[in-house]
Formats: sequence, C-alpha cells, structure tokens
Amino acid sequence: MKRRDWLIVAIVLVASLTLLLLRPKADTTTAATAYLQITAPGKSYDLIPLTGDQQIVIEQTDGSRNVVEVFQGGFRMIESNCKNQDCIHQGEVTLDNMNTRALANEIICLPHKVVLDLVTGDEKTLAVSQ
Amino acid sequence: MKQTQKLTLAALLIAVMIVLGYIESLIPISSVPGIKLGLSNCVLLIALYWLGVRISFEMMVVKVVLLGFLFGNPMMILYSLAGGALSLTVMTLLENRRSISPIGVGIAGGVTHNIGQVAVAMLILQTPSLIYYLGILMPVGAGMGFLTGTVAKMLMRTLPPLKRLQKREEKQIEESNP
Repeated sequence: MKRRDWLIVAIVLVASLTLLLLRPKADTTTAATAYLQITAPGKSYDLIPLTGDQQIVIEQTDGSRNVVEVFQGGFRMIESNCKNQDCIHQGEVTLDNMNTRALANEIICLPHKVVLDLVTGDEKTLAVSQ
Repeated sequence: MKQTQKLTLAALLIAVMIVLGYIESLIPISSVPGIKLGLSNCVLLIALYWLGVRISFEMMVVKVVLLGFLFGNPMMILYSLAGGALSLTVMTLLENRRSISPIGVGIAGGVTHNIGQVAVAMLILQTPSLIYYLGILMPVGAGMGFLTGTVAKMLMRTLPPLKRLQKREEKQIEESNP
C-alpha cells in the first residue's frame, strides 16, 4: 500500500460515512404512521398502511409475479418467480430494523424491477412527495 | 509481446474469468444485490497492466456477455456492463501513476464498480434513494478491491512465464529507444 492508496481508502470512507449519515431515518413521532410503498413498472400503487395482515400480489404483463406479506409494523416478500430469489432472502423490513438493515427501508427485486419501501410520516405529506 | 501472444493471453484470462465467475455464482455471500467478491476484477487488473486498455475493455465486455448468458439474465448484463465500464475507466486513469499501487487501483475499481451498478439501478428502478445504499456498498467494494488488488499484485510478481514475456518486451523497448 502506497500513500496514494490510503488516500483512495480515505475518500471512500468519508463518502460512505456521509451517505450513511444522510440516510433518511424512520420518523417515529406519534403522528407518523408507517406505510408500504410499492414501485413497479407499468402500474402505480397506493400507499398501504402497515396496520394489519394482508397479502399483495404484484403481477406484471411479462409474467413477473411477486407476493408481499404485510403485517403489523412491517412487510416481507414471500414469493417471487424470479431466478435469484434475492428479494425473499432480504428478509423483513420493520420499523425496528429499518435503520440497521443493509438495504435500510427497502426490499429490491432487481429482475422484476420491483422496489418495496417502508415510508413513515403523515399520509398527506407523503402523498404529495409521491 | 507479440500480437498472437497478447491474443492468447487475453483468451486465457477470459477463460479464467468465466471460471471465477461460475465459482462466485456458487458462493452466495449475501442476498443484497451488488455485494460479491469480484474475483474477475483481479484478472482484469492484471490484463490492464500487461495487455493495455483496449484489450482489457474488450475482455470485460466478452466476460460480462458470456457470464450473463451462462449464469445470469439480460438485466444483469446491463448492470455488470455499467459497473465494469466505469470501474475499468477509473482503473485505467490510476494504473500508470507511480504513487498508486495495484492495491489502490483494485480498491478504486471495486468501489466504482458498485457506483456504476447503483447508478443504473437508480435509473431503471426510478428510485433515487438507492444512492444511500452506496454507504454500505462502497466500503464492502473497497474491501473486496483490496483483496483482488493484493492477489493481482502477488500474481504479477510471481507468474513466471508471463513475467518472462514482459521482461523480453521491456528489453525490446529499451533496445528500440536507446
């Protein structure tokens, strides 16, 4: 390792620390409520409040199919007909673990271009930012 | 090195990258997309030092397309291509600087590979918040880049037949530029 090598390491560490610090944290004020936000090609989805148990099927015209299980305070991907099954192994996102997970508040299915976000806040402001 | 020698070496290194890519696909390190060993980066690093920029880029494209069709899917080719192109560009810019060793080049290559992939993911998934994900990916990429850079440095020192070829070439250059 030469001196400039350490400079590269330093730049990387500073940049990643900055990003980690800037990363949005869960809004835990009492007025805030948690929602599931689904982003998938071809269709827009309403915010789904994380208040009770339900299953949401995300079907696309190319045959892609994902099933999300919503429960009190969180959600997980329970089914996907993609090849790598990464989204299922990414586990559940809850209000408690979203600040410590590697993927933070998201579950991503890259092959199907599906992104699940746990968003918190007031429904009206969230609808505007959407 | 003669053109035929370069061609043979490039073909050999591509074969090595395909095998490494296959081995890598068998080792699931993490379900988080983008976190992987990047073993083939080690081979590309050597190619960059020994065979030059053009051949390295060609090797990268061939590797990405072959691996994508063999063990991945067309979407993955797009991600790998973006990561590979950015990483190789940055590694090319750093490669000929005396103050930076192959380890530093490897680290920069690993990190920029992740940046390229996340940039494409942000575009394709229309999710700008993915940029925060780099806060985790970049240190991991740096760690993997450190490993591949170290291995590349050791290999470049110890691979005897290739070293001989290179020495012969240096000699030729010296003779032609007295």
